[in-house]
Amino acid sequence: MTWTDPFRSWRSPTNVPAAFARAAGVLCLTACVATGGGKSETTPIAEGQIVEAGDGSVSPGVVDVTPEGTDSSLYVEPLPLRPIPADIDIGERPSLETDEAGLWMQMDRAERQLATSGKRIRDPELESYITGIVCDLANQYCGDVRVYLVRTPIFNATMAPNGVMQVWSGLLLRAQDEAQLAAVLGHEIAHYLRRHSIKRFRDIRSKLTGLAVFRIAAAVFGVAPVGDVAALGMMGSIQSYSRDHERESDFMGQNLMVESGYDPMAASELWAQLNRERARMEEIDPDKKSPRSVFFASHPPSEEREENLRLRAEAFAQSGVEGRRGREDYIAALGEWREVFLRDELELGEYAQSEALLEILVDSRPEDGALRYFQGELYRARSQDGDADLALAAYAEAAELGYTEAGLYRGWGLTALKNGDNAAGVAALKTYLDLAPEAPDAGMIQFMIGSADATS
Amino acid sequence: MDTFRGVARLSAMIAVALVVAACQTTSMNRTDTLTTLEDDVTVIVMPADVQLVELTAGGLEEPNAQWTADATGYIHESLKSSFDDLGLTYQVLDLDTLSEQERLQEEELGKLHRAVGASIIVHRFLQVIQVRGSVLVQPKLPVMGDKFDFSLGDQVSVIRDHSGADYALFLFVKDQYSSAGRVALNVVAALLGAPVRGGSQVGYASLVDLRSGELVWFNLLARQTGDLRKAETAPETVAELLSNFPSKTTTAQ
Amino acid sequence: MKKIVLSLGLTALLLMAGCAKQFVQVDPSTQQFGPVSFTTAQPWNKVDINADHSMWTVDGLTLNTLELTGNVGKGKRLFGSAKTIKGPQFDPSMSLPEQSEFLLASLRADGLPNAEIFGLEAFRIGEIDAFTVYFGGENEDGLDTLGLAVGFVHDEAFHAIIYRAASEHYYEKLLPEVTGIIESLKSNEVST
Ligand SMILES: [Zn+2]
Repeated sequence: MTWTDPFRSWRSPTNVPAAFARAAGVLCLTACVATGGGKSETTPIAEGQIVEAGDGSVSPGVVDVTPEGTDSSLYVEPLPLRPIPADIDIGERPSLETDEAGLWMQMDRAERQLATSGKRIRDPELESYITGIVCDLANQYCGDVRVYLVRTPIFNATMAPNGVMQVWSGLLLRAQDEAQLAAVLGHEIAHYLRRHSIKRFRDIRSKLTGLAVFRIAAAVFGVAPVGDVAALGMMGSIQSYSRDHERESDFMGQNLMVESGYDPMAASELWAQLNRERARMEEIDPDKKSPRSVFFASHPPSEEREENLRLRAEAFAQSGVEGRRGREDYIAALGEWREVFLRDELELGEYAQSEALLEILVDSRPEDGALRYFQGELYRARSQDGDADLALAAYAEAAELGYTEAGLYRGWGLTALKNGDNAAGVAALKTYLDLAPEAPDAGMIQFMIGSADATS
Repeated sequence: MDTFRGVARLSAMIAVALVVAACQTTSMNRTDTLTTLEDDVTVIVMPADVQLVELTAGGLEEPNAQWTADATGYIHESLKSSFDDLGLTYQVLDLDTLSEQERLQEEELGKLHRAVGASIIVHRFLQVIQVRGSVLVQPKLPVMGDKFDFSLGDQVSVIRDHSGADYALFLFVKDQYSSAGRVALNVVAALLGAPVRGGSQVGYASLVDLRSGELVWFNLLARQTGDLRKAETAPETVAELLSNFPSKTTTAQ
Repeated sequence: MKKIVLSLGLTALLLMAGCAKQFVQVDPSTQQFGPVSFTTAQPWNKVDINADHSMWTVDGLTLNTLELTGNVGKGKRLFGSAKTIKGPQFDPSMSLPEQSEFLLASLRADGLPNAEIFGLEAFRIGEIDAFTVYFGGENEDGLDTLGLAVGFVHDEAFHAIIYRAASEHYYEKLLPEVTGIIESLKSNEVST
């Protein structure tokens, strides 16, 4: 904390100064998914954070909370389904002399860089599709939230205090329909509407003062570990404060979904799917089990989120709320980007995770040849014993399901060659070149065909 | 002499581990001949990149929008009077007058300018950096020596064609100020002998020849004094930033 | 004053410990890189990261670099730095197109998130099968970047020479030199 960074403006926006991002600048969806969540103890939502607005009940008559057989320590009371009012005016900008204006200024800078970053997905069609969903959810605040699609194969979305929302490609890949995406977008919008960034920043600022004093004492008395333990405790208290915000955003986001006519159960399903992905990944590769930390889980455990959002969705359903899913619209809107995101996912080299994710996606869309093709690509890249056969089977299934992209024959051919089947390999690679004669790797594939022909 | 520390990641491969600036300002010219500008030149000022932040007692950097807005105003005022003294017409590039296409090109130019500025600072002024996790001490480039030879390429034409100017002046300033709480903490820390950092002022100014794309003058400012928050003290910082700015031939003697 | 003494002390300490490095000048000459050698035609600044990995530049690390990274064995990453996105691991069974996929994915994880290839060709260095690839993209700061690389496997390990530069001015500036370096590549093994 004593190290400061005079040249910070040169950094990439997606790498917003760690201390600052952690401290306040950007709230994100799933720090805990990437780093391992944890069944940390939960704190009830502080009184006054959810402001009661007259008789705001969306679904009168639903009061019960804890169903039998669930661990009541795992979640806070998600009901009743009161609307949560916004804490910011439409089009509001903080006045210059406030600390909030400083935060906005910083984020405006970051936004200018993000706008031109190589990580940004610049596709007007996809951007306008997702902005449309955001606008629908944010309603009158539509003009205050700006969406940036970011090409990072990790499940996440973030909201900065000035209304800059980042939607990461790892989320776009995992969401199965528009309603699931809307659940996350609604959550992020809620962070904005409730001004969580500035609240968190002020909380951290006050706690860090204490931290610096600890550090000095530690340095002087040569008891550095004491300082570190103090830091850890302080961070723990900051994180638990932010977990309350996450819950509030989960609930408010779900309310926004309902108002926009989405099925609120989608929010719970998305978390269920993530939990399933993690469990399956740990099953495939037990070494991947990530350490779960109480202190650094800035978000409620995903099991809790799944459960709370399910209870609320059931309550909404009982009060007659139905909603749309937009499943095919969603896949159509992603278009060719979905395969770019699948490729990026595989390039992480985290094969257990990719295998788990692809299993889940195939389960949900068994008719989808593209997913089989990428299963083939996964096995080809992993290339352990037996993977070549798995890959060949997956490519064949993809073709059977009507997948016709050139890349299929490239992967197929390369795998066959590696497996010693030159005839099949050459045939597939020739198909690839027929389908994509202008491919940038055509020269290399020609060479592969030539060497295979020469040795067969 | 002042010392600065910083942790910044300049790219995937470079991290600035420690910054030690040897003196208050250091300027570099393209050649020894470029201490003067031609008589009838015009210089367009790019919108200054200014940022004022407060260091809280806890060591958190808190950006201050009011200070920044004020400082930006003071800087441009001081620049104007400096330009008057230099006999130059003062004009600032108004981004709103650029077409969409020009705006994109101007952004590209800005990005390359930042990359060039980063290379100059990394290889001329920094004492320790990390490259691919390896510590480099005094990462000067022996081939380059003290030669100053950087270009922004042909894309500078977008500014030249739009403004008709011969040169463009780029400015970057970042100031940190200690909050009252931090000053108090500093006193306590000093008494106890533990280090707590105070404020700092870093920035650079560079002059680009819009006809050739070449950087002709570069000035780095790095010190622990200076105050851009007040109209009375801001001109001193601008004067430092512009120290050794090439004069016009007519006023050179 | 105290701080300067401190930092000078730190510098001296780092130098004494032998863990701190500096750029050295490499004049036009023949250079060894694992199982191959190449010839440079203009002076470069070079720093050795370790025995298998060196970083070369002419105008500065943020403007143009030539990175030589060799002996990347099974399970190793091309740039081996700790980041959120680490990039894939090398496997000696990779064919030439797969080696180029490995290189491209490593570049995407290493600051060129939207890198794409423009041309991929087979290339021979003596008896060694290699590939050359042209690529481009924007780095994390949005700076438009172009590059050219050569890669090959020798003794179960991957070796690559990777040129990257700002697309405006700096890429073109060194392109003839880098092309010359690649064309000059020779295998150290006498062919039989
Ligand atoms: Zn959140």
